[in-house]
Amino acid sequence: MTTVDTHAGPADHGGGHHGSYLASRGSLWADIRNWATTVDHKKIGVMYLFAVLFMFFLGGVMALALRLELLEPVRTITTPDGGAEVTGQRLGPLFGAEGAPANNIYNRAMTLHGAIMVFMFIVPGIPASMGNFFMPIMIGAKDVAFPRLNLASWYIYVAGSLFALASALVGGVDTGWTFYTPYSTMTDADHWRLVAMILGVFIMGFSSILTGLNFVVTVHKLRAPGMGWFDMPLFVWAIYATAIIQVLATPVIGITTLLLIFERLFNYGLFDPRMGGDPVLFQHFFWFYSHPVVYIMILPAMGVISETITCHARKKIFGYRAVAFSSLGIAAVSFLVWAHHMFTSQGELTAAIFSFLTFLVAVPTAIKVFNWIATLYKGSIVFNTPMLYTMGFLFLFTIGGLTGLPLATLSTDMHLHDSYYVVAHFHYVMFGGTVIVLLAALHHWWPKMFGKMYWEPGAQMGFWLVFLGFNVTFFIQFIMGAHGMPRRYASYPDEYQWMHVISTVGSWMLLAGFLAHLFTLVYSLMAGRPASANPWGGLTLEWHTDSPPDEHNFASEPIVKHGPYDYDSVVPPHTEPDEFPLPDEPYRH
Amino acid sequence: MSTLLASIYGLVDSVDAGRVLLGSSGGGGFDAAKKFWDVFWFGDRPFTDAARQADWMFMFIWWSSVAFFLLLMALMVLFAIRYRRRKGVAAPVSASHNTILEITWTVIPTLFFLFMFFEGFRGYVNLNYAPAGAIECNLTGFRWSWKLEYPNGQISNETATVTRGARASENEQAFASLEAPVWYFPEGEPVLLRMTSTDVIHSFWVPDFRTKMDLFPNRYTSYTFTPDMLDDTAVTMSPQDDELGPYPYRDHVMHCAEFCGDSHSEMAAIIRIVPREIYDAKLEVFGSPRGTLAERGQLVSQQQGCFSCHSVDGSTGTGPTWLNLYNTENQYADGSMVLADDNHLRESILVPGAKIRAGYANQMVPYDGILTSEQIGWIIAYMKTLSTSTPQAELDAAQVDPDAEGEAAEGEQADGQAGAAGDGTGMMEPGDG
Repeated sequence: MTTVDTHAGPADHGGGHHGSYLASRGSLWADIRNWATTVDHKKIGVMYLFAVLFMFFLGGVMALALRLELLEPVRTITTPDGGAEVTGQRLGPLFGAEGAPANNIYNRAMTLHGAIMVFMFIVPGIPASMGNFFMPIMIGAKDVAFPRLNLASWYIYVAGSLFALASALVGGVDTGWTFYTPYSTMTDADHWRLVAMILGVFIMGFSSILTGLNFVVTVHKLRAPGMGWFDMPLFVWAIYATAIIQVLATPVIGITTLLLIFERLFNYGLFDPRMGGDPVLFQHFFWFYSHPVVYIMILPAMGVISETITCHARKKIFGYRAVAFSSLGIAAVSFLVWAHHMFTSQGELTAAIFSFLTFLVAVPTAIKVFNWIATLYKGSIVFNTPMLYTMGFLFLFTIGGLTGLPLATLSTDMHLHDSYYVVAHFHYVMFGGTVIVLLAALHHWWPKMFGKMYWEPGAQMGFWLVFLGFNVTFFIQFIMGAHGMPRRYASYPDEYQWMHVISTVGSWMLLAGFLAHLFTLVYSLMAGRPASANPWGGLTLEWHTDSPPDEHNFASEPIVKHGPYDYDSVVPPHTEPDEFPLPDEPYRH
Repeated sequence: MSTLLASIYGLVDSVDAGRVLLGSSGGGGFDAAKKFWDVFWFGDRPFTDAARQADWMFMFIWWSSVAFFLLLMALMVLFAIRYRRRKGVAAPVSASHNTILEITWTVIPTLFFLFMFFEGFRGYVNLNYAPAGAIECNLTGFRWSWKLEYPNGQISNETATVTRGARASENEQAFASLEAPVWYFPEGEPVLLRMTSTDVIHSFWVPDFRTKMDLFPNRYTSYTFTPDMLDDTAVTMSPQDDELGPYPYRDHVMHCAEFCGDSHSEMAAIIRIVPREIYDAKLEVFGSPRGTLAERGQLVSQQQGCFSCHSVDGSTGTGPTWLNLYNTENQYADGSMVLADDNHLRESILVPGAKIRAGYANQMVPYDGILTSEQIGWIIAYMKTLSTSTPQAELDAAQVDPDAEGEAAEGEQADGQAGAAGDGTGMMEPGDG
């Protein structure tokens, strides 16, 4: 057995290869040109990472502004003619629209928060950044199947984002991110604001489809010799299932957004009841994509958790096949539950069928949680930041999942639908799923991506601030919603104020947590300790290449000799990864 | 700073309100505990039987979830502590799958989920089906208010203040009140709202009744509730505030729950539950009678010339008769059987060519743009009086008595309305187009 800890950092790398993918080309201009035209999946992954983090920052600013606005039941501003206006004082400057109807400012910020977070952050979030970077390495490939298409996807994503953000710069859209008709076809907002936003979503859809297509082909065709389907790491399974949903579901939102643009510009009358159209048809189209989107977001997160929990507990995952198949099962059932967003707008039979199907999707989800917790049993668990985030995810996601049950149940959903209870539920699932797991993935793979160890105490402090801040912000919203607080309200009855105050204070804790992480990660890039090739003692293939990886991922094509999680058979019982280093040979089943 | 202080006052007040509610229970420990969780989750107790069932369902899910959650988190924390990495201590070897365990933890949650689905569906039916003899009203949602028409055609002209920003500091000019319409309904009697919207989608939510339903343009949906009798939660209306006072009443706030634009958050109304005699008196007070919905429907039908083609005595004209049309199934030209329910009748009036009855030609003029939604609602209400088959009658026939009660009640209602129509026709205003 030999140690894999051979490279202290990119500068030390010798050999006859191209060196680290991060290595400079000499001048700044050459570096910029190199990154802008790269076909390296790792660089594209990093470019996606920074793009989605920027979007998260924008969406987060909107969220903080909304929470600040809701500190008080009403907000007052004085209009130029001396009259009093309700709401919007604090948000006005964001849109340069102090004179606009006050609630409208809140509504636009709310729409922008939702649209940015859903379409520009959680959908591309983990699959496009971490998936791009690690999926090819984890299957022992040099790159994705279509590298140029991969770069094109990134540019398409950026172009779509610019369209959507342009609508905000000229005043924003106030429809909510769901663009429900007939409001979105009747609202008197300037045509082009709405069209630009919807066109942005349409364009971003192509990025999603192309990335998904690329990943499906990559997983099918480019696995290393000896790697069967059940030798694939579970993150790859999750990315594969996600990619299938992306390819199948995203065209539906493409068509829907296009129809909405036509409706708006040419008055087709498909969704507009004034012309005999059906607004519920739009809801069906919309949710036929936007429900699977929840799984485009959560499946990669589940994949990440499957990696971090085995790696930091040094334990083979419990029920590998159950976890892999439940990914596919969730992907399949995700297409059958869209109408549970519409229990209050359709017939009894439809509601009953979709309620039943919704409970079906809960079963594989529950199975995954049980498997993860069983994986901890008799492990060797280390409490670093990725592990804390993994356990934080299990905590939040279990709450998110269980609080979904009253929404799947028809009688209780009739009360909770469109209330703050729903807001809390989907933030537990989406924030607990995407943001928490992206932070787990960032810290887990940071040493590999950038060759530097992050600062552990700072990161752990960040974890506690984010974890507590999140619960303070959102748990109270379950209660608020059940008490009768509807969502998307710019002003509200006084009785809910104390709960809004708690929630807003929580959002400030969250901000502090993110700033702590920003500091520790930037600090690690500047002054972090160089990372070894395998600082955690992982068995998946990405730990068998340099940190940061070589430009072509591996010095020679890896041949798989052991399974991705065979900790018990590959290494003797151990205590510390550094004392019991793992073999530098790739794994085999 | 003033904001924060104001918020803390708000917090204290709400906690006190909770204590008062708890203190008023006076029951055993279980009642007090139940009341505590009602207040914790819902701020108040439910105010209909169906809502109590929905709450029971919620509490069942809540306590099952708490049990599962505590079990899972306890195991996670236990494992994390027990099996934390320690220098010099080897990790024990353990199995990486266990078929019996895996089947168990698949089957048990599935059983829970199945129970929740069936029980939830039962509660949903209770929440959404109106009992026989419900007070039927037309409700129209529009940006950003509501128009409720009582069965006698009257519209409430009262409003009340919903406080917002009462604690806003003095140097900010607060928009401290919201004037919302007040609708009176009698205690203990079922109400059925036939709802539509004139512009975008709205949603009718009364948190105290634990149910909501969307309102769509060009489509009817319905909302039903049977408010509890007035009890210790009732307050007394003073004679200074209301000429009919003093009388007991209880207010329930309703919100619009589907985003509908600028003033979405101000689209509220108050449902005021009062004794039956106050309700009756209120309907008298709300202006001079203009006829019931059915009377108006008859008048509009006359004005639009419907009776030159459609009979009301069962004889065949250019078009099908209206006698016993409502809620019956008929053969159509394409061979299908179609139930003449609210939405079908509406479609046949607006787009007569969409479905043609077998044996009739497509000769009718589309009334889209001629009749308003309200007028169509009136016509349907009129058609209903011409039919012995109504959903309520069927429900009665299925549940209570096969032949007697439902039809009798329906017949009585129809008679009463027809009689009133005979008296009042000449005085009625034509519906405004």
